[in-house]
Amino acid sequence: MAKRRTRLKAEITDNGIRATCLIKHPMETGNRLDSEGNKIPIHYVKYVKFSVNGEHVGTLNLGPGVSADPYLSFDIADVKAGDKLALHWEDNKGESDTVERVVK
Amino acid sequence: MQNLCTVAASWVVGGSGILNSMLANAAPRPDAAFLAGDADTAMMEVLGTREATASDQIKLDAPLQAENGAVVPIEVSTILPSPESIVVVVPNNPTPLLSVIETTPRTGNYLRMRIKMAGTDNVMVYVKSGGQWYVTSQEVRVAIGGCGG
Repeated sequence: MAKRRTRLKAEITDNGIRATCLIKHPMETGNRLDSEGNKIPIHYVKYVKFSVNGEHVGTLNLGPGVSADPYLSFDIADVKAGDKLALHWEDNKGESDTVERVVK
Repeated sequence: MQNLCTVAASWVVGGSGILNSMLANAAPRPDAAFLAGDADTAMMEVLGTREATASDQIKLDAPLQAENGAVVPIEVSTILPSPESIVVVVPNNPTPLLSVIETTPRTGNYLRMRIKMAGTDNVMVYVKSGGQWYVTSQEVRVAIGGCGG
């Protein structure tokens, strides 16, 4: 499993947090050609799941049309400092990553 | 493979709660729809209907003009009561379905992402609330398309 970097931060908002993540990923559509004219195989993040203190709070299913290095923000209500925010993603080749942050 | 990854990931963070919550919420992902080449097929699969009510309770923020179609930032917020699902579609993209967001009672009011656009087109955002689909859209003029090929 290739190592990919995922960054996750949480900003406190009026009624919870705004979770923002940056996933280092090529998000290939399968339509692009390399320098030799061969098709670059499709490779994209299929989903990003968020949970707070182990409770699932939302899934972002993505298609190959999301920009390279997906940069996503997602509001989650009723989250306070000290809560554990976790993110898990997986792509179409089975690569995945999980990160966890304590909300400050 | 999927199970292995989930187990490994869960082991890394050392919490079985995360694993359980992720397995519990294994709603089938509309894989075919994400690879469908025309918007109609994708929409029927995901929305199950062609009927959506135009709503000013969904706010879509996208640039009027984008120089580079590879990175178009969009921001979606809604005051519709308890949104269940948010769907982002760019009809003329090679794969028009961009994102399907499954929300819970704690989420769904705000979302931001960056998308690719093959050319000047509408960004359509569908929100399901109370079993009904609502839609809003905005045109983005794209100078250089960002889907390659």
